Amino acid sequence: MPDGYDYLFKLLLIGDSGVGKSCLLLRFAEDAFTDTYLSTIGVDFKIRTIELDGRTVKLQIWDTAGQERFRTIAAAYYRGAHGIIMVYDVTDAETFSNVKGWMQEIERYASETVKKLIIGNKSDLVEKKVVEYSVAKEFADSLSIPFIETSAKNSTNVEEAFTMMAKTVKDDVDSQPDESSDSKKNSSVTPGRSLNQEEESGGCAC
Amino acid sequence: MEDGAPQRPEVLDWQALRTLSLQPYGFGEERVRIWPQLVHVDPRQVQDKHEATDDSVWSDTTLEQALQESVPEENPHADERQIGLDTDRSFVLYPVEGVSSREKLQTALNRLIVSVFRRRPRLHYFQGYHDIVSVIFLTLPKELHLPVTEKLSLHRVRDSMGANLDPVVGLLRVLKKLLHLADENFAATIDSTAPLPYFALSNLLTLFSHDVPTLPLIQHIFDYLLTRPPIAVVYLAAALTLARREEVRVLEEEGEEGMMHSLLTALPTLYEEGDEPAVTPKTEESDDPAYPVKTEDPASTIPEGGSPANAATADPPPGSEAADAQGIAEDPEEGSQPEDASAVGAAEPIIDAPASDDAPPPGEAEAEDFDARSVDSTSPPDTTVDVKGEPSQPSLPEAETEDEKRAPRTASPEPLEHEPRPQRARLSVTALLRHADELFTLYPPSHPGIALTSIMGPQSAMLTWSERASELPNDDEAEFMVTRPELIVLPYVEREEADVGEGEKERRHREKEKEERRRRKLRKPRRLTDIVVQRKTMVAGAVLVLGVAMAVYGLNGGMPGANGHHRHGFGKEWKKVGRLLGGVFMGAGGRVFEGIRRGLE
Repeated sequence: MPDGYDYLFKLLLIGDSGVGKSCLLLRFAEDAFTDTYLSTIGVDFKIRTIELDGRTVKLQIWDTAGQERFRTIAAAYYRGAHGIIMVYDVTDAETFSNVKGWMQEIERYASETVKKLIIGNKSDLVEKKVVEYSVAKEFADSLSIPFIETSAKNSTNVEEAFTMMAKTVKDDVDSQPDESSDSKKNSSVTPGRSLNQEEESGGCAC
Repeated sequence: MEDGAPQRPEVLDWQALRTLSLQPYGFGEERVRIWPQLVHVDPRQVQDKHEATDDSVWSDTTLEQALQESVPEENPHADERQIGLDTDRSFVLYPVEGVSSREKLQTALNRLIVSVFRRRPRLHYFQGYHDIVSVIFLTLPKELHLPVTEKLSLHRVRDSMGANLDPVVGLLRVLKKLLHLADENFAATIDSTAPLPYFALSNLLTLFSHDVPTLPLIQHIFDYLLTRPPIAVVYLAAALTLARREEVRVLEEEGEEGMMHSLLTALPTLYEEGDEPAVTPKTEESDDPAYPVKTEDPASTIPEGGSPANAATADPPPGSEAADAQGIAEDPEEGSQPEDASAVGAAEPIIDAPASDDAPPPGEAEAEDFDARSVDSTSPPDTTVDVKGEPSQPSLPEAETEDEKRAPRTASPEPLEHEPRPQRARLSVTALLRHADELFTLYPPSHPGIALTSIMGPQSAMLTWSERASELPNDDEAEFMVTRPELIVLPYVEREEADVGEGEKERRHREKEKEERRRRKLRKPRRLTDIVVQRKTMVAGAVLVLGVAMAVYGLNGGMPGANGHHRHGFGKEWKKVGRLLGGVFMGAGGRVFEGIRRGLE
């Protein structure tokens, strides 16, 4: 029973520090929320299995530290990702404008076929909201990336967001017969070794 | 430095302290006096400024006072926003009893950290640094916060405070090598799931403070780390990883290697040997004192200067009476129900229930068994005998609160589907620490399979550290060192092996060593140049001293403290040898590491 799944997808959460990546993941994986969440150091992941189109999809979702200096380490995990979710905080304009920077990280480190999603989190903080939905939506549309606002705190759209991501990945996988092997266990849970090496060897200043 | 003789405060008996740090509860009350000395902050500051040790326990009153003090007016540091983001999320793991407002604690911690960075603007903040500082913050009296944090940052944590995290990636490579030396098969299994042991990243970065669930436990681990060269953190991480072999094997059998990172990122359940319930089952204990070891008792039993000179004669460490007394004093705490455990972690609404499917935390906590799976076999019993009899200890609560406390971070990764999961190992802290010492003895940084100097650069805190304040870079120089990342970790050119068979592994291993040797040669001239440009005598001296120290450890076949028999004279012994060799090898610089063991190329 535990092993019964048809697909295994690896997703990655990235975005500035404090935008709520870990809280989104906690909400989605365990349906819980806390105001006292810890900073994420490095990377961690949680797993949740969902039903999608009558199939069982196991999602391994990697959570990353938001501070810029962790980017090179998190990048080791980009390559194996099927989907990457960029999160910003709707109450913090800077985190939204930094989504562009995160896009560059994806372009640099992730596979070309990786699916993307932009999430504006903390939508429950209506009074503090500074990034308008329309602005973000327009931005996302211009990049042809799906966009959704969520609240990890009150659960709004969290389920939808991850499901949306999973669906996109699944549709993509389904459309490419060769990729079906991806659903095999362990084929996709390893941080990109080759990538990581490039990164390591190139990462040091000489 | 005679056994049992009182010492001048400046002359620490490192060897005795190492031994003491291996005892259950480590320094206990004494760490308030010992830690500052270990980072070369004048302990007299404590004595003069800090008569009432109660100050070191935060209360609403002391906190208010602290917050009324002004913040340094220097220029803001670029990382202050990030610092705020993290201090706003602090004191989750180690909640503070007696303080009604976590926000105020966070503010005080924020001020402390900001003060450090304004004083040392070249340092960069990294997420997790706040976890380290919170341990200082909760352990030492206020007057010592800034000086101790500053010294610790400049001389131990410095590598992670440069422009990037490449140095800690270097340490991950050291860890990887160490794991291969210790258990090739096991290491290969781990390698197959990730190119580097990233699961240990937060351990290495935060000196375990991000992950160890209770204050008494992390304090003990700091006792251990602060009495050893900074590289000891890697050995501890290795010991911890090796303790998970059984769990990893189970994962493998179940075909769940993908969960490896998750398994290894979460610490096993740690406990102090003294916490093995003597009379009362563990579940009966409360956890009200989230960090009872701290300073309820002024512990004035300690000779001034805080150097437990007695420990050199082996034992009962000076702190033990205090610990004893305190343990008794805390007995009343034993009496609440296991559910109360969540009270300590009350900050976190999440309970780690799924993770404990097969090992409910209360059950773990009350387990009477010493747990054969702990690495006890690696720990000679002799070093523990003297204190083992203590039935109750100040930090009783930690075992049962652990799961709850961990919850926010490691809450089970697969809660909704009940993945098969090996029972989480229980591990005695002292056994773990001793195992780390043994690894250090067997595979010192100078070991050809590790060759620390082939990974870390001459200005790495791993190599500039010294027991002697006079041999450390001065504070300004240390601060400046973070601006030269290429001297902290050496450029990495080696191709790591992918999945390969065992024989192949072995072969590659040898090749790797050859490669390392080659690279060392290539590198040498530049490194020496750098040293000359930078600060020739100091770096060379520091590297040399550490190298000699390591070599002597290795030659003696025993990391001090790991072997009770050598305790008495060993410390002074190797210091002498170090001094002697100092002259001999002065010209050899960084070569000393490899040189002594392998006769150099």
